[in-house]
Amino acid sequence: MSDLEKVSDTEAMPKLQGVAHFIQVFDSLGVFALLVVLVVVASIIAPGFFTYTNVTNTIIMASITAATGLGMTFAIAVGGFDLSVGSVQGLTAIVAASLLAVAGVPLAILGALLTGLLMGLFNGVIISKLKIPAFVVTFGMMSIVRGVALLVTQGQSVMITNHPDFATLNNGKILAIPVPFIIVMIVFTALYLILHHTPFGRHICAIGGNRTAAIASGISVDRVTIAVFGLVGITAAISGVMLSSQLMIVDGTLGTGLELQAIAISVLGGTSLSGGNGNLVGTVLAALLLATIASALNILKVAAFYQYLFVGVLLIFALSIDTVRRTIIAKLTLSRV
Amino acid sequence: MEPILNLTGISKQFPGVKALDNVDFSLRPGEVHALMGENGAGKSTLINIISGLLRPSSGKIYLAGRQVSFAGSSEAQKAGISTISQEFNLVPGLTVAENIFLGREPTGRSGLLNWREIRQRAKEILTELGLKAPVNQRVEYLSVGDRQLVEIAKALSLEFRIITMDEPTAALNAMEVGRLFEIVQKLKRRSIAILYVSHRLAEVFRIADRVTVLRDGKRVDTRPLAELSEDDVVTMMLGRALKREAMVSQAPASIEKLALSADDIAVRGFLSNISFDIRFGEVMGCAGLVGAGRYELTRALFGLLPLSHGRVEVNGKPASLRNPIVAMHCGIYMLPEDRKVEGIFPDITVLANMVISARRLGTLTSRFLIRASEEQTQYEGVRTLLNIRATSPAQGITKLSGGNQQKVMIGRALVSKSRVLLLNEPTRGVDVKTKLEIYSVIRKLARDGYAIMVSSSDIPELVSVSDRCIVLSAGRMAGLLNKEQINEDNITALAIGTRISNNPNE
Repeated sequence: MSDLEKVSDTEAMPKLQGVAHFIQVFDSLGVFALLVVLVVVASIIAPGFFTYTNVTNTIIMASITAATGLGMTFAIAVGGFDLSVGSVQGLTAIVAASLLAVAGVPLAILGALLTGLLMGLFNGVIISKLKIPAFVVTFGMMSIVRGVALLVTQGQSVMITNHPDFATLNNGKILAIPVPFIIVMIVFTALYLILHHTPFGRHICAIGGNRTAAIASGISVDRVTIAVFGLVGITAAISGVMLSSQLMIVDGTLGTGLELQAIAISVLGGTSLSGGNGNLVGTVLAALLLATIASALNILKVAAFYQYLFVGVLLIFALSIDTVRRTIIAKLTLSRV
Repeated sequence: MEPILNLTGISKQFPGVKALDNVDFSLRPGEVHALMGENGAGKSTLINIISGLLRPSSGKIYLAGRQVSFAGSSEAQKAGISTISQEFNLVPGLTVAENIFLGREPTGRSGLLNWREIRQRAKEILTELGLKAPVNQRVEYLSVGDRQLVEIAKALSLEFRIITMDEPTAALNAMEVGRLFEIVQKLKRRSIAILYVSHRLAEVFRIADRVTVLRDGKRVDTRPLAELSEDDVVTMMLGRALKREAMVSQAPASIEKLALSADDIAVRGFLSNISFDIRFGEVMGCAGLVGAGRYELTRALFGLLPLSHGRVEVNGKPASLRNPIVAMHCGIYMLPEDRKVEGIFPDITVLANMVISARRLGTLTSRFLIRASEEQTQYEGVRTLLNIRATSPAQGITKLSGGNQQKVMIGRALVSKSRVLLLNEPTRGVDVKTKLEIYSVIRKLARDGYAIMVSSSDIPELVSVSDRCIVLSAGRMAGLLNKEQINEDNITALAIGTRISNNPNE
């Protein structure tokens, strides 16, 4: 190593790392700060926001999106995304509700999760084996699964009547913590372990970061991709079960737009759309953020339509921050060479 | 005949190095003028000056008798000089015809594109060149050879008077080369002057009228090829007579076990009749010019390109190297040629980058869970062995210098527990000190019993690390050199395809 490089390694390094490190921490910190500010502001200007009932409801709302968002973060980390999650949520909610009519709660949940897994695996197989972009495959599946959901219900609603206890999945509390949030924490913990403490998780980031290098490093790119989409399917099914226990009456149109919300919270949470990394903490925080906004606007009696505006502006804001961040990192890295 | 292009006393000074020193060069209409020289002789600098990319430090350029000075490549193009380099200036998503007329599309009176004229004129030019592809075919679907013809078609449509071709045959197969040469003949008849840069002697003798040889930035001589032999040109290039030695001989009997043996292997379109073996404890060099097939050879042995013929044995057992996963199971690992493209994972840490290909065998937990302490130990071991300068294992890989990144890549191969290492350009883009460190690591690994193939475009590198060396030329084995035969002259001579009597008894 030349003297010049030595200098940059030992002296310029800490400074550079400091900046880059701050930018990376900011990923989650930004969302967290925004969340705190919003909660404080909402508590002040919207009396009735910071009550036990409302906070609980907000958390439940956030949990249902967060479950799918966590899966979506995986899909983005591997270098794709999944547009079919909303339809899968709808279909699995129907599967759960229909099974409850003939079987017990555990079997209904299992059936829904299996359905989600199958849909996800199907996405993964088509994407990796037929080498069709994830956008196209999952866009198609979004329509197909929606069609199936509407067909099996014949456009009718399915009511859950003989299992009132199923609702505790939504309104139950353990140590004053809403059950949906506990479910999300379990999903979060499992996915966090997978992403950061297994070779599989590392391979996900490797494929998303540099697919060619992943192939040349002997990573089973196809297998990992299929598994990731399978996982996304399961998380969408978890949301589906949560939604059906919340509503207790489901139909084929449920879950429309969930895919965009899931992508939005992943990106807001600091997961870069270019792949190669996933910020699961940020995803959960961003889900809480969106739910807080929705709830505050609701209490302030602002028409629900404005929520769309809000989310859109926030999303563009978050993406531009992401671009700026990557430009800065690229510049810092470039000046090293 | 009066030269169309005349360069007198051209010098080019770069910081610390004189790339060209008082070079004269002329180009006549209707001639093919070959430019030859070893890497670093100044060929690229001269072409860049002619095509307007560089300005000479001193010297004059005359175009058709008038002194000119190009401020950029567009000015050179306006003056009628077209450069066909290996990287084409074509838009893949547009059709052949659109590419030919890109930026100067004929329009009708209404200002709309005159498609009929575009297609008609494109078709005329292509027919003349003998390109069969339809004019409304998109360029991305064309082969490399056909794309090159589209470039030439573009030059013709602009009625260029001078075409420079930089290694035009490097990526072409034999048939495409033949077709290119026919076209070059047609261009000659149209009084177009062609500057032809190539490493391949046989080609130059087939196509060129005159040759200018550069060495260390100076012009050695300009001579009609008719009065020269291949040996004369090589002598001009090297600055001394080529030592005639037996180029191919049997490998010395070795006690070491065979690690990998390739028997008559081929990769369609790139390689044929390749046979060699590598023993444990030996470094096998692999030499060859760009496009000779080195890249494809290592990729085929690592399962990234399918073999179209022949068989490979690893550890004495036949191996079907379908993909890198199978290759790694057989104990083969490849260091990619371009670490940015195929090596580093920019988003993960130095440590994660190094252990990404680790073999995970044994108990269920060790296969499905990362054991941080174990990885840490592996990392530290390799870091010490290769002297990698990283501030911590958690540092981002992109923050390391090129040399240290390359060491991490080599470390990845070691962690994979493979015993057969295919190292592509192991010292590309690293500084001199790291280079030497990497050489000593390669030698140490060989002593420790690894079987190593080093594929490199850097001939001195091959000379310093190889025990034996195969030389590829145009997709074939040009020779296999033993330790005592490995020197720059022999490698260069075989790589540029000099026909040397190969009988060791002669």
